[in-house]
Amino acid sequence: MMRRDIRQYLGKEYLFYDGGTGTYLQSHGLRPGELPESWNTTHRETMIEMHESFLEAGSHILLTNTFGINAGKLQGTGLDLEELVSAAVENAREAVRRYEEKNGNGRPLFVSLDIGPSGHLMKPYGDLEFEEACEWFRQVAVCGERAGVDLVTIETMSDSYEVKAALLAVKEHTSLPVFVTMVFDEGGRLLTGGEIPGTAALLEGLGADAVGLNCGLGPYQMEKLAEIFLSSTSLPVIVNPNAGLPRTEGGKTVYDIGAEEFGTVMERIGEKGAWVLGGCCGTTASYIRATAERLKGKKPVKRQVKERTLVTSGSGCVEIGEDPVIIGERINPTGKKWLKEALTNGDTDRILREALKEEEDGAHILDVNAGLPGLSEADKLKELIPALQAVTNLPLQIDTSDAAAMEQAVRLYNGKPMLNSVNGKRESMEAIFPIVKKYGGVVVGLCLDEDGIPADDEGRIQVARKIIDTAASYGIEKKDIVIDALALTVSADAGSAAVTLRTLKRLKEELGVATVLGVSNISFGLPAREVINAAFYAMALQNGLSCGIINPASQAMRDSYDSYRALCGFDKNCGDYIARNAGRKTGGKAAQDAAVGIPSPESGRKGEAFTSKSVSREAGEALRDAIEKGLSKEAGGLTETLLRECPVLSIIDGQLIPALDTVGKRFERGTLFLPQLLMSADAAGAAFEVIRTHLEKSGQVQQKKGKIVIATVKGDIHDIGKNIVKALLQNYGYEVLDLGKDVEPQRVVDAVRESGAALVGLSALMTTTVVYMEETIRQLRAAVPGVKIMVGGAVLNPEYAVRIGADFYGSDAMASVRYAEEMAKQGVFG
Amino acid sequence: MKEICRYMGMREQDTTESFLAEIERQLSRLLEVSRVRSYWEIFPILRQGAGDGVRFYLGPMAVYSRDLDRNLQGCDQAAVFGATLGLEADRLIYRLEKTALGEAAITDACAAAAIEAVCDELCHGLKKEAMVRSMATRPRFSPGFGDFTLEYQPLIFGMLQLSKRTGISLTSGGMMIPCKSVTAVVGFQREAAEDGLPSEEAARR
Repeated sequence: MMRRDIRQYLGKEYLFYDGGTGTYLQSHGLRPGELPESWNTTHRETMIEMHESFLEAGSHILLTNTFGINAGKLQGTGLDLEELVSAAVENAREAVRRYEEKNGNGRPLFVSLDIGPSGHLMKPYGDLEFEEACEWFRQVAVCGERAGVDLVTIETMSDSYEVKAALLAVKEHTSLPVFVTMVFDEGGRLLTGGEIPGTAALLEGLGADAVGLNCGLGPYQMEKLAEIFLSSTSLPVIVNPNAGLPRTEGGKTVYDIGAEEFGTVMERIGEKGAWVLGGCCGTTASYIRATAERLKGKKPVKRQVKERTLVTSGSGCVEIGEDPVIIGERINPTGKKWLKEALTNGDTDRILREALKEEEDGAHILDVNAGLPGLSEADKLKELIPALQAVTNLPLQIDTSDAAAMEQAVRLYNGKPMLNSVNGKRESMEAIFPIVKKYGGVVVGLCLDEDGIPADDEGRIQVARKIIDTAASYGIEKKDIVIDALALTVSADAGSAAVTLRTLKRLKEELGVATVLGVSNISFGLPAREVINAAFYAMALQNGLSCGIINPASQAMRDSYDSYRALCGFDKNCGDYIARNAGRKTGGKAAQDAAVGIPSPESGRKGEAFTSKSVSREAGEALRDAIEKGLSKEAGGLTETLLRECPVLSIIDGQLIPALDTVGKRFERGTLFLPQLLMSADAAGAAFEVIRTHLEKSGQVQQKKGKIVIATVKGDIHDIGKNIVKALLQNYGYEVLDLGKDVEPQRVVDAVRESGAALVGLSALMTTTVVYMEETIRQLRAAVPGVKIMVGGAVLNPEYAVRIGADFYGSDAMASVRYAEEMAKQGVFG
Repeated sequence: MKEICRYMGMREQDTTESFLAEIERQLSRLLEVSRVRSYWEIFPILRQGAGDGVRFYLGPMAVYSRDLDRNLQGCDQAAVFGATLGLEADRLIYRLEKTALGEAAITDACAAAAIEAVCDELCHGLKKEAMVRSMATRPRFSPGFGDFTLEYQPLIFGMLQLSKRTGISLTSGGMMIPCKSVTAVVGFQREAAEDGLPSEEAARR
């Protein structure tokens, strides 16, 4: 059978969906708790009549009764996915046949496969893996296409990550048009936090054919949101509201708007530019009829949408436009020893802390580069990106020259990322553009090609043109391209900065495309790089730079940025400038000291200054005090001071460990409590961080007492306890390999084998997961007989711990430290 | 504040002024990011047709639990609700775990107290709802208390369409996400107000 392509009808006439399936079935005897989809085979005639009633009312698109069908929801029901989908499609087809037999085929009618949410929350917060979600949706989509649907509607989605999985699955495994509608709250947010403009950009990027809203709200609330949708995307917009807002009446849910009133509001929404209209919960055939009749004979409104360059994350959205954007450059191992080590050792937490620091310092987007010889870039990016997205809402820029790694990373990414980069070489464009087209993204185009980097602005503009034109041939719009004008070392070529600046200006004025620069490249080989970077940055902004890849922690760069925005009218009433700089001391020693957190004579110790002779004793005392009180900033600053006078070991053994011991003893005595213990651990952590940086700079290595592997066992997702143990063990000088939560027994065994750790810590919070703890211990005993195992967690006690084969039960975090110390004394760590 | 301290295993008098100020700071940040959502519906309690271990039907749900049965003695209907602080609260705590564990622990305690406060408020509303019908409410009773096991969670989620309405979802292991979420049953009884039957607090202990 030839499929009618619904896309050819969009915008030519208003198209109407049907109304609420659940509503119809409940009024025909569906019991609460009964799976509506089971009626596809048990109540075929009722289903066909339902579809017919909507066709009689004027619907063009029938949704199959498959909303709740996916492998996750059918698990354990004994129902067959393919059978239910096929029956659902046949029922809708039969209704179309009967209707056309009676009424002729006057208007185009379509049967759409209905795909609803999986019912599970995606990782990292939930337990559904991205690829597993893709697989669930694939199964339904493939069955639907085989059964003969005309299109797919993905609806009632409230998570941008899940909708990405669904949309990818349909696009990858079928050739059907795909419409997507999502549930927003009255404030225009998804349950997972995303807003309409960013969500629309994501769906557009992933290749949806029409997008919009359904469920959750009535037509009045949706009217306002529809307007935002209409101004956010050039795609056709769908609006399928409920019959008003729900309330319970005598234990039943009822909606507060009648059919006629519904039709009136829907008419307005149609006239504003929505081309596809219908209903969701509570809407019966009369609601659809009221809507269809009011718009009868009217032509859909064409609209002009302003092109915007948007980069998004799960819940964040950044516009690259007139107001300049900061891309944090810090997560790039080039020239950063600490990051190389963190990547090699799998110390993701350290990288996350750096990312959060960049966010705190005001970055809007974070560049992520994991390119390191000897490491699989794809694997590292696949590990880093979800971890970063779990802690920050900032969109990411995936920075790699390896196309395969880029594809795997962008696939897993939650949102519409920036992709760094493509260039004017044919080979590069052929590798990168298909990825951008398939997954969506804003791609950085470097002004270089087979002939190298053009020496003048004209050459660079030509390469930029070539990139934009070639992208267009792949269906990638200019709004999804940001051109890198390339900043080259000015010390090697005195004219290079001027070429870059001219290129920026022309890219903006002549090509109307957004721009980016790795600003700090300008100063390679020069002293006091920050000075020239900051000046160049201000000049670049003045010449139209849309986003600078910079170190947001650099005060000088920040000053350029804040001043530019204040001077060019982007910072209303200079509010941001004032907020950042009010009370700031500029110049002199005070500012430098403040930057490292050293107490000034006025602050605290009335008039008693730190003299150079007394500095180590004073500062040592103050450091112990800061740790005992849990003051991280002070602890960091004081450690810096001490490092100028004392050897590292004397700080650790003389101040840090004694302070931690004091706090630990108070905790064990019950005079001090867990949060206070943790604040002290944080303060000690800050001190250790300073020491680590100091050692790295001087090329020394800090001696570790021994390796410990820790994990929260399979099935368990509560891991704050494990994280506490980890922090304390690290403070006491152990190298801790943290495998995270929900960890398979085999992974623990592998990690212990590979690392040669002598001690393993396992935690479990739920009774249901202790079995996995036992299993993990069993496998460890079999594979690595000598290893010591300590366990902890709310459901355990010493007897139980012995029964499942552990060597030690830690009733609290300090107990684990004491056990590790005891093991160290016994020489377990070798 | 007392509740927050209790969740951290302390009494209010164990704290210092500066520590209380720290709690205040964490609490206000938490409340700023939280997006509280809740949903409830009232279902009839049917005791006819019970048998085979089924003690009664709460709407479409067959209940085998002796403890819930005791809690709902004298009730012929009950509200079932779900409430959450939203994923943002989880995210904040998770983020703090990476940067400042002490703050994470305090925020976690604040969140535990906050979701309880949300439930208290919700139950207060239900009490008023009951009074309109000349009824009184029983203390709330959650899956996981006594023999009212977590296996009831998927049924409650189905009855209320909680995922769609509140954004709470269940893992395959029956845990709720966001973590700071509560589901519970609140009985509506004809006569006397809350009496000496085990309260939620007592059941937890």
